[in-house]
Amino acid sequence: MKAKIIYLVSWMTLFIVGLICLNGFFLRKDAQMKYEHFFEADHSYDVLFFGTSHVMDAVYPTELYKQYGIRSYNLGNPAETLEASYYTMKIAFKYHVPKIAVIDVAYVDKRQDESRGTIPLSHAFYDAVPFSMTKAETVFSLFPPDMRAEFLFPLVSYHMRWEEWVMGTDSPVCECEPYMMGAEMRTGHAEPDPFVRTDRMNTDETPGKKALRSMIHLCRENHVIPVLVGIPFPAPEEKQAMMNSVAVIAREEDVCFLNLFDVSGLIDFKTDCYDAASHLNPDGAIKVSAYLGEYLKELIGEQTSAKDEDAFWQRQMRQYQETLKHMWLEQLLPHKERE
Amino acid sequence: MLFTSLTYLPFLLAILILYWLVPAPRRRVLLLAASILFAAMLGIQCLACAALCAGIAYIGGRWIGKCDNQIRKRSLAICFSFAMLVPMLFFRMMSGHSPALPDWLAGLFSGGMTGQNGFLAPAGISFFTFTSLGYLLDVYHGRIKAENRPGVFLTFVLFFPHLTSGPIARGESLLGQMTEEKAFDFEGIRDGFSMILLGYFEKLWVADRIALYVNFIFEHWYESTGWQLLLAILLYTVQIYADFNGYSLIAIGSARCFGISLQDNFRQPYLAVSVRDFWKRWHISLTTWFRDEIYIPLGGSRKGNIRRYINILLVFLISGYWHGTGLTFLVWGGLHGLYQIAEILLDTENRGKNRYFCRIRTLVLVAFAWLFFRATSFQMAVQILLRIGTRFIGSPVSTGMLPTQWAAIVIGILFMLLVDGFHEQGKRVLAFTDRKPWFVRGAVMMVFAFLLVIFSLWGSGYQSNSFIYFQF
Repeated sequence: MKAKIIYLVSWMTLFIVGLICLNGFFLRKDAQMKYEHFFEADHSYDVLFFGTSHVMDAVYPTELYKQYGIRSYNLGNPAETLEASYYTMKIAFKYHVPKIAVIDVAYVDKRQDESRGTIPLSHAFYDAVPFSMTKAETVFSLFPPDMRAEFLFPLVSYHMRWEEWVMGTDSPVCECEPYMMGAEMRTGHAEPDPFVRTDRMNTDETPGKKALRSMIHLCRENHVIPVLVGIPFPAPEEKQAMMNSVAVIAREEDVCFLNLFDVSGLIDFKTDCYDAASHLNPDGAIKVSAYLGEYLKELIGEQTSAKDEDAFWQRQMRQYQETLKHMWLEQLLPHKERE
Repeated sequence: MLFTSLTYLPFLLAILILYWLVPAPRRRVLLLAASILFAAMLGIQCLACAALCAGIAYIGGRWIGKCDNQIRKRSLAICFSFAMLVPMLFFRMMSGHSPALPDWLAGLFSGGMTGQNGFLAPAGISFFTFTSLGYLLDVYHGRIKAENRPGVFLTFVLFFPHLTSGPIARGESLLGQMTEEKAFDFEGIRDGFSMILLGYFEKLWVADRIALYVNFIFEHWYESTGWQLLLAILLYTVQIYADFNGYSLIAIGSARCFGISLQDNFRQPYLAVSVRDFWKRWHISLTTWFRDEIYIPLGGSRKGNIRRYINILLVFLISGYWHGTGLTFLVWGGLHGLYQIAEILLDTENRGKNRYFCRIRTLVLVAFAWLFFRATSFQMAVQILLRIGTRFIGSPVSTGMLPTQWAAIVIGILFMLLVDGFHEQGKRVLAFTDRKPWFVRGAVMMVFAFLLVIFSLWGSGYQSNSFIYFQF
């Protein structure tokens, strides 16, 4: 009897261990690669960036280090609402508490409960987050019941990947190398959507604004300076009005809001857009990184770092420059010649 | 909670551990609590409806059991049977309609339901109604004594492995098992889990994969070729078997883990040599229910040939109606009735010498009837038949389904054939492991379980089809 019970328990235990191994085997490795340096304990960051793909594509931490020596990580995620960014920040602060948190406000008008269609994109971040109670709390707070399991145990959605391997249709969920420190370099040019700048403000309260306030409070609890930022893109007027209204929150909460739409001559949508609707290509990203770097450097003040930390960043920088040269500057030359 | 939901196995495991840990007298109470929770998770309406049915059957059974007057007994049986059938008939009649309900009523009928088109019925209503009705009629006919412990009776009706899609339990075999004190049964648990694994294989590997093709073709029948439609009908024949047998295996296996035996529901039906033989092997719990409660009381074959044919036809028309209200279900039932009458008239069971020919003939007849079962209208079924006759062009597999899916379907069907072939000869597929050491048996099961995890259709990348019989 005792032997039979031991047999049953052993079988179940082995089965669960096997499932955990399979989970690791089928997990997409690209998200882990993207956040490889973030979830390692042996680095520290002065600045963390939060928000959507706009900030993910517009700020290159390696460029910030190259120009200003700022050590930062970009935690922007595709189609991430501010409600989700709040939890991203909560998870991030468990690993690194920076001096400054830069929050992209592009999705101040979006609601998490209306974002079901874009939830699968969150795998680009959550696949890399190690299991913890904070992660479990996040998953239960953000995602609908039928989509929770896949974030806690990705085998639920990835066990069918054998089919992609056999058919050769496997594609990454994000295109990012570890040396980009969370940012994505999207090379290409696109004719932008028509853009008309407006100063109008839509002060309606949204879940995004509520989440933004929560993020500011979370920063303060952790002694982090919050900086709100509006990344420029050919946004429709209604979206601009909503983003403009963040100035009211910034005033109320006494935090800085850098609305880059208002910085004249910073971005030329005709040359700096990767796709028609929004995202910036390396030209645009380098300009935004430079502008933000100037501001952040003053806010951070004097900084020192260990020798091995510098060596680490130098390695990232070399790889970044190599990629920038091959993927962008060499492509750009014939493009500019055509112009 | 469906058997295919991610929560079912952890739920089963948790209840199972508790079941074998608590003292024997408390086990039934635990089963009742688990069954109530399971029903509530399907929808509070399901729980309410099942409890109502059980309540009527319990009171009716007690009343009939105490009654000595035969006429009064009969009147009571009719009244209580009718009362029990009212909810099911109500939902049957409303099925397919979208009535303008007042808000409060619409709210009552909005969650945890299943059904066709507009109006939804509580999950498993036909099954728990027939379980309760069967008990009442068994008491009336004196086959069993009325159960006087309401808790035991409620556990019998709500018992979660059979609640939503059977096998339809009979009081005679199950009521006694509910109160039996059982010793820890290792072999029962091992066999139960083997059955559950095989059930998941048939459902998630075979049935749900075939469903991708069948659903696509039946949704686009008007632009599908004859080959595609023919293949879809044949594959549906496999799908419905894999789906329902898969469900039954999970149900029977789950019950087995608790030391409770449920009636077998399938016995290699597609190896039947005649349609009559098919019905001795297909959905056995329902077929025996109809035989005991309708066919035999109507006179069966005791009142002459004409009456026998009428009884057969009537039973199968009722069976069609039990499955759904549309004309298609009546045609399906009617066809099976007519097939059997023809078999009796032509004496095919004694004439057919070649078993393989008989099996293929039966399979073709059954597959033809499944077309009406699957089609959403009679006109659609007729149009599909006309199209099959006129448009034999192109390749049947050109629907955008990946070659890997087809390969998995073929492997799945071959494995099912192997399993059924073994069972037909009274052997088990895993018999070769019986004399091997315990770790070899464990390893074989483990490999099968991991193959299922990797190659079955489950999880969020794929929305599992709910069990076909869940809607009945």
